[in-house]
Amino acid sequence: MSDHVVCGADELDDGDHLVVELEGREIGVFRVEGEYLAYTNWCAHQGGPVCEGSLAGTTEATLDPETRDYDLDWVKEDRVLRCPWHAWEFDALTGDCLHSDQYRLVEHEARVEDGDLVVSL
Amino acid sequence: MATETTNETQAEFADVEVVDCDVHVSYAENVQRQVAQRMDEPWAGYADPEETPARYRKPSPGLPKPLGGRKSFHVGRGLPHRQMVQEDLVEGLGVDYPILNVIGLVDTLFKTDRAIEEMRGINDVLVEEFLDHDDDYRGLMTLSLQDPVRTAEEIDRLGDEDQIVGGFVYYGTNYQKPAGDPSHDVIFQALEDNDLTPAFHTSNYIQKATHLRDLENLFAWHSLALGWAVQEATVSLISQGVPEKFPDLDFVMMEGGVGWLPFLMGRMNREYGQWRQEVPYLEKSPEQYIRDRFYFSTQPVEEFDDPTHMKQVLDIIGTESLLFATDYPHYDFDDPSAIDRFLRQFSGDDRRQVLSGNAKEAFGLSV
Repeated sequence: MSDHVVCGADELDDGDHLVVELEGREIGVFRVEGEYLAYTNWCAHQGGPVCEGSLAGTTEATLDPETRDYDLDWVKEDRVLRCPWHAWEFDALTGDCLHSDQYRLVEHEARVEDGDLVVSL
Repeated sequence: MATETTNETQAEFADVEVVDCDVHVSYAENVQRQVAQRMDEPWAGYADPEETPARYRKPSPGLPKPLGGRKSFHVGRGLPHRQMVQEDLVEGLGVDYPILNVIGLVDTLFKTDRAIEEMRGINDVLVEEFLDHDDDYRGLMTLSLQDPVRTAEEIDRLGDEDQIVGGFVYYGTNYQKPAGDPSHDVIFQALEDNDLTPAFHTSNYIQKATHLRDLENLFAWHSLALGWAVQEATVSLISQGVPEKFPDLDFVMMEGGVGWLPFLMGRMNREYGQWRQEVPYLEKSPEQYIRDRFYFSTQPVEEFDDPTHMKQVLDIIGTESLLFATDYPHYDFDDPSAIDRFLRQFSGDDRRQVLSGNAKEAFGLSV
């Protein structure tokens, strides 16, 4: 395992992300709700550059069992990563794919050391 | 039905019960008259063959007349319908439990009040003239989608009829919203409350799909039309989250064949990945809803040049999703042996499930 300083931790605001090349591999680094995360820039769907997608929110449904109506809410703002190829959604905080538990982002350890954002591969 | 094949067919199915999920009470003039007698004016006169010529009773999509040699049984036999079902289907084809429906075409009628009135008359005829005469018959009550509230009241009215096991929607006509439209929730609620199963039957009156209606001939149109309506209904129901809204309901899709099902499962899965935020109420893949909550009647079963390919298709779909149906008495019906030659390549239990077990589960049959 090797450690890589990507940038200063304070260079990323909440909801920011960037893609860097480490050891010849494209890695996306994210700051989501105060946490730092790193994922391989590769979508489990068809290999698209998932980390180059936009980070936004998404919809969530709540069913009222009495009326059988759905309430749709916009949630997880600045937390849902959407692959630019086919719009698959991933929770950038957990790496989970939102529509299937068969897929997830390939995660790497990310942490702050002495003010730097460090990713381990 | 040729009598020499009767004993052969009965023997072939002697070891297994057969439930036929799609038996039509033909909407011939004698049945229309019985319906009209149960309707109030002014609508009774519209439906009565003695008062209104055929071309005004039902709007016609202008289909070709039946081709020579393809006369429907009900045209050629001239027998009371109950006797035909008994002779042709029960004694002839070895069907133990026919599930009857009436193609009354109510949702082709542009007068909603008449559609509702005729729906009620049709359902009374189904019960009084057919189901009450044979304990082995079951029936699907006709549902109109034109006025969901009054249709829900109709479901409640007949919910206690023991031999009514589901609701029948002749799907794909002008005066219907998509199957899963939220305005239909009152219908699904009433079905759930009355332990009845919705059945969406493909529509020959394919008024909504003008791109199909305009195809050049019956070969082209019929190639696509039968599968189209039930595919649309399936997609609509899932896309509106109806299975999640009504967790006690299963859904039956009729007369669309089944060969397209692997395509639809894979296609919907793909679209789900791309458009999940439009349908966030789905808890699992579209394929899983189809496998868990939908049944598909096999007729008209597809016919590949290499018949072994059908076995492969059924392997993908899974026998647990299939219901046997003849579509009696129409010319494009399936003899039970048409599907059984494939089913015999599965286990005996799987074969029994398709021929009767799945139907018992789907419709809660107490037989």
